[in-house]
Amino acid sequence: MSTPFRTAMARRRSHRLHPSGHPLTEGAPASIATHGAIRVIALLALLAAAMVAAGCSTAQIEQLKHSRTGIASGERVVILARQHHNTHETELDFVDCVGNSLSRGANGLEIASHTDFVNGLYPWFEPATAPLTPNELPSLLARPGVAERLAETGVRYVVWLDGMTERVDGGGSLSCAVGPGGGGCFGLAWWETDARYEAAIWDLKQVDQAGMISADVTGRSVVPAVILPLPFIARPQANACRGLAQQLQEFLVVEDQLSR
Amino acid sequence: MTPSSHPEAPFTRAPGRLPWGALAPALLLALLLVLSGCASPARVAVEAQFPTPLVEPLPLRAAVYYEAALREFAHSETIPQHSQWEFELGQASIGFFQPLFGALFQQVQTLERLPEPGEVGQIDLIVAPRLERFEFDIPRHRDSKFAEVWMQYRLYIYAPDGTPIAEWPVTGYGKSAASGTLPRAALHDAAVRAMREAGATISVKFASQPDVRSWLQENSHVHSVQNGDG
Repeated sequence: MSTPFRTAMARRRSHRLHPSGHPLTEGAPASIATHGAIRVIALLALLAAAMVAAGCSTAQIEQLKHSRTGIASGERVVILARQHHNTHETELDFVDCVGNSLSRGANGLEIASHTDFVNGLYPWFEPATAPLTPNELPSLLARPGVAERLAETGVRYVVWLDGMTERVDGGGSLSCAVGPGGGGCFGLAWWETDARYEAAIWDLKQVDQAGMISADVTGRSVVPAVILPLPFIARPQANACRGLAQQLQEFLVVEDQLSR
Repeated sequence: MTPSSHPEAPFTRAPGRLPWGALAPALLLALLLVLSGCASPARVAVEAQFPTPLVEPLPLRAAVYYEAALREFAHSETIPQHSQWEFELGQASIGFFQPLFGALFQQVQTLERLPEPGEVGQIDLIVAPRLERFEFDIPRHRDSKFAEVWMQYRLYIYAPDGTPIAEWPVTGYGKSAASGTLPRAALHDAAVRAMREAGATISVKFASQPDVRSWLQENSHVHSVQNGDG
């Protein structure tokens, strides 16, 4: 295992995002029929509260680089999900999202299909047999046929994604009713979702871990309702995917990207 | 949501004006469909392409016997007050073992029946897999998110003369994120994962099973395939 070049390279970001991932802008939809001054005031107060609280995402992306990276033409990356935990499992759609994001843009990387990779190297990347630490790489590569098969795939970097998105808090109440004069909803419901993922990057050329990137995105969704419910839904998983993919791309492509 | 009804609600019409004659058969059909959906079991026929293990084959000539109980394996179970399930795993099990044994042994032939002692020549051992246990679960509580499958195969390994060499229970577990009340796809995925896990265990640990290992040590002469007489 190589000595880490530099450790504790941490790049932090913390910002508030609209659920769409873009900065919050003014001008909320407010086309609600008024039924009196009190309703209007209540509506405006609720909307103001919702705009303040709703759709906020706090993202924290951290990166730790152990060795120089860089990727040559013809070298590929495979994104794999850790599936050995009893309590959770990294979502496959998140794996696909990171892979798709990595392959886009000017620095787009060539991503190997995780299904083809795992099938081609069966049984060595199954949940029960996959190496859990880079220390297990040498013995895996020494197994008959494994190094040759890996060379055939063209994969240089294995990115192990571990984590999950879960609802961590919630509250409020929202009720709807239908009557002879019409229907409507009233109330306020909110919930908080946490998307926490970690990417361990293994360099098969160096037979070692190149570094780690973690993403922790918390999003609060709010649905205020005065007659009509207005959902402000945060998408922390999508934000985590975007943030993680962007950092991964820089991590792998830029050879001298080491913190000062 | 708290719906309330009213005789003059805008979404209701006077009963006399509804075309009940035309609606009745449709409503009856819908009711029958709902009831039949409740009564008939949800079916999961496991079908998958299982990969060939990347392992060094043992220098053995094996004959594999797939008993009828394995070839036609099905499992029915009712989850009380929830749902009925039917699983078909017979063909999937054969499709799972064929590439597995093909990679594990240097030569493999399939037997139609278990042979009498001395009936089959030019083999070193006989393997007869059996699917002994199959269990599953689906998410029924708010906190549970996964469909799960647990299965246990048992490999019976015999010498060509019928002498038992080993009995090896091999378990496999698979889980898959589920949604909806009848998560067929998640159960299918979990069953495939369980089979893959069992296959990984067999392909990695077959030769190191104590009984198999001691038999291999005692019968080193059977390692004859590499010497060209197989």
